Amino acid sequence: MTYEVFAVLAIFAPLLGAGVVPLVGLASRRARDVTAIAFGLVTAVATLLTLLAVGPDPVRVYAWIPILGVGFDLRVDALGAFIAAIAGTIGFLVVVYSLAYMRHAEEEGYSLSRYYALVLLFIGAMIGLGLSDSLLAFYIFWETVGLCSFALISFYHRDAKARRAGLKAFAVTRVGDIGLLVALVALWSAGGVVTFSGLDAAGIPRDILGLAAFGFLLAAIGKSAQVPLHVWLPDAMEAPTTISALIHAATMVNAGVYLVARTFPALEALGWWPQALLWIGSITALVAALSAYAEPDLKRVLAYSTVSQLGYMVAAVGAGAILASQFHLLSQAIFKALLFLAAGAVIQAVGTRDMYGMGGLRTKMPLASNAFLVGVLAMVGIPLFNGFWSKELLLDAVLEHGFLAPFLLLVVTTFVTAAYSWRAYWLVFHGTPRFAGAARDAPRPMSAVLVILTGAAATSWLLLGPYSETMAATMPAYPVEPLGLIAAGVAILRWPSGLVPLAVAGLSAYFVFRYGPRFERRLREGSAYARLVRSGFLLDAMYNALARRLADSAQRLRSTQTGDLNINVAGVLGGIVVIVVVLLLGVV
Amino acid sequence: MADGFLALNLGFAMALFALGLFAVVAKESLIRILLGIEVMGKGVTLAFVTAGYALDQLGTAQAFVFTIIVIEVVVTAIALAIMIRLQHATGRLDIRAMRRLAG
Repeated sequence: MTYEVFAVLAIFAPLLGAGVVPLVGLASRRARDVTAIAFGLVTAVATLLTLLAVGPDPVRVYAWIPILGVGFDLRVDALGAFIAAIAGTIGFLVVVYSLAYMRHAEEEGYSLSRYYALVLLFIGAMIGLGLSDSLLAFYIFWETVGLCSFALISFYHRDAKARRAGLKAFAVTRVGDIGLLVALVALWSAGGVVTFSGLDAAGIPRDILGLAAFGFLLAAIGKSAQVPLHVWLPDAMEAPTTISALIHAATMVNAGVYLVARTFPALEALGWWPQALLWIGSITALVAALSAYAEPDLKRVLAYSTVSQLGYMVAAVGAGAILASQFHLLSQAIFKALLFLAAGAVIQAVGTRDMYGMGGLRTKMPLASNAFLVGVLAMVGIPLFNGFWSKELLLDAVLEHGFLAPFLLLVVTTFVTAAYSWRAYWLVFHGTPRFAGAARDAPRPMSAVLVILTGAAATSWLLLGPYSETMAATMPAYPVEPLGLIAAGVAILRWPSGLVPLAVAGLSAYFVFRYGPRFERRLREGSAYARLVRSGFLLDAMYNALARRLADSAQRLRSTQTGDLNINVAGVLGGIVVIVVVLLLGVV
Repeated sequence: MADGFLALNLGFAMALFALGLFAVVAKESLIRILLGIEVMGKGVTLAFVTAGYALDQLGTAQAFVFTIIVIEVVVTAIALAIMIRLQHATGRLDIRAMRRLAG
């Protein structure tokens, strides 16, 4: 019970900070910035110390609603503790980076008190989501994460596009949230399940379990931006770049992957459920990678690449490779934070997100250029960067479990990933400058964060041994084996997928450099492929039509609204009478 | 004795609730409607206490009653604020003055 106090601190320090920071902000801006950093640092340290507290058993912190048997329970096993540590540490780095990056927003009249409060709330909710064993607490944190993403995506609230993007993110992820609610209510009413650790396939009727599994699947698809609910994530790029980094690396999108990994042992027996994860994941990976290639907007390329990498993770969970999926989540968090923050430096220096308006920045911004290059190498999976190890483990696991078709989809995706990453790097940092004015490397706090993340992207794979051992020791119900670095290296060399990414990375680099310009011109002029991608593979058009129909029908139903309070209350009364009569007669 | 006592209490609770509901459905003055809501709340509170007594869970029932009291205070405060605004805007406290959302 000694170390669990860190877990509680890790959850409640940022939540407290979210309340304190705006109050300090009333007095002084400088004190507010210092307070935000301090709370971020305490949170990061607490999440790292939480790693000392890992153990397989849930801990009851507080008997919350005793008559329902609901408590505030934490389960500090490796799965949750690593999610929390990622959220805490990367969240802290983002707060530090924000100090310099968001200064201009204050001059434009946007409240940074609101910004820091929401960021801390976001981080705290994500840590709570990872550590909660109690389903009720999990649900509250899950919804809080959704709320914060909505508010932060539309942070530049005077921009109509930002407001729309925030609303879209909220509406689309809501579809998944309803799935989660249905799943939780079904589990509670059928089996009295109120915690993740109490979720046991044996005690629940098969059809209810199926309903819950579908709900969890829907929730994960919404939150982790999988096909067909991935459309909100690219639009979410209207957010400040720091928020994009936070959403893509530390919080939000990791929640869905975490949820399916967490529920895997109980739902694995359903058969169709892991299959669905495999296919959704691998199709998402490919579709998103193809979308990324046609994007002119630097941040949207990165957004699609996140969707694609999340597809890998979801597919890995479907293959039963919990370790590989979570290790890739760690790698992705690091190199995606690095890519976004390097992109942020570039965007601030050049003043546009359009890659056709950049170019030649390699000599002008050497630090951002090298940081971005390391991020690209990690994402493509070049050996000795973290992405190589985790992606290799992941591909091996999918192949090893005998899922050939999803494996091939993922290998093709690796090729496309290499292509769009090289394309982005080339368009931004090479060639002749296509913008006016001088561009310089970012100020010191931003650059320091980039250096830290670059180092992490090059070395985080060294953690594989302890990472897998902790998982194996604290997650007895999950199919996780401890795996040392040498054993992992041998496994990678033994399976044929070992050399595949190497070859395709080289090939696609050649492809981009040799044939890029001609293809690029056609993309820019709007070829059929580019148009298909920009319509979100027709999904956006479909959702828009659906939304318009809904709005129309609402307009038509307006005439039933009298606006008279007496009549409305009488209507409510009539409704209650009908429900009571139906229940009494037992018609349902 | 206990049964008669319970029936009396529950009957009184229902009567209070019905009285309040009548005010909410039939009255046009916002003040009267607010009073009706309050009276309904008292009926519910009484029902909770009675049920808690009958089921020997007075502690739980009291927890709910305290919650109801707190919520009623909030409702009253917000309702009064709305009424003051309505009085300023229209010069009356009639709910017919609030029909601008009618379709």
